Amino acid sequence: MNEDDHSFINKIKRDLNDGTQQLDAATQSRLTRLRHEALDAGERQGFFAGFNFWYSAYRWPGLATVGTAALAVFLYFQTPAGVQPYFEDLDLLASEDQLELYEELEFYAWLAEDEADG
Amino acid sequence: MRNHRPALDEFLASVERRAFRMAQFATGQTEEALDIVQDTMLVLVRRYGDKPEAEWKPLFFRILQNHIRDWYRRRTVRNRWHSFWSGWQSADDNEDPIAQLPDPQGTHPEKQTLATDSLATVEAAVKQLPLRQQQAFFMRAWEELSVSETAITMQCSEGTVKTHYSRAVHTLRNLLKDHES
Repeated sequence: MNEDDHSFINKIKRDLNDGTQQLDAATQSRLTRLRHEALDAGERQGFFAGFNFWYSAYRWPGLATVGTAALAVFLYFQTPAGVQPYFEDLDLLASEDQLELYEELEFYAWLAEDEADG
Repeated sequence: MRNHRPALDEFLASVERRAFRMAQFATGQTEEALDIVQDTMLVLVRRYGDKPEAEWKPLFFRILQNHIRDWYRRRTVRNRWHSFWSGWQSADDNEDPIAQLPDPQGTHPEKQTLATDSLATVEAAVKQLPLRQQQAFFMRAWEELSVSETAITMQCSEGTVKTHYSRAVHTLRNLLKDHES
């Protein structure tokens, strides 16, 4: 770069700087707003930095799996030995056709008894 | 980041106008330029706000140039799909005759350089530079970054920076022959 180049480049630089000074008020105002939004976002991130563990979304599926497994183990060992009440209920709920039978169980028992007597 | 806020605010205020103009030169669109500046500010504040202040400037312009390059890539892909799609349609199918009329406010780049207004002339010439030359010129001449800083900003070798910058100055000299005198 010679002296001539320097003066040529400086002239362009002056013009470019003039261009930035001539930005319309609306654009300048938007730039200011964008700057403040970026700084606010940075502060929010700084505030939550200590809670990284809790807001790292990728951890939640793992935690949910571990939690479910722990709950299953807890329920299994809480059930008295030899008693499995939930499984009976599941049978009832799964077979919709038999629901009436279970509800009218006493009636059918009486009917069977009556037929046997008769 | 909280302690850095006043310094970051001052730094961003000092570069935001030039960053916007650089993005505007590159994209030719105000809204796109504002989006690019916004993304650049966010990345700098979130990822590099804790870095030493001396590193902010090259980092900021590196992020800016990356976003501008991404914008170019997206536009290239979009244009490719657009031309592929329009190839399936007949030429006179959806041709809007009004869209074919010349824009009364638009000016051909070559005619723009002949404009009497100094600023408009320089801006028109800078817009004609290829993107990499434009970036090298902005970083070296406008931001006064060193060759090595510009190389970091543009993610290329120092030799490449020198080549792009030299070609940019040469092209501008040719385009602004009348403007120099």
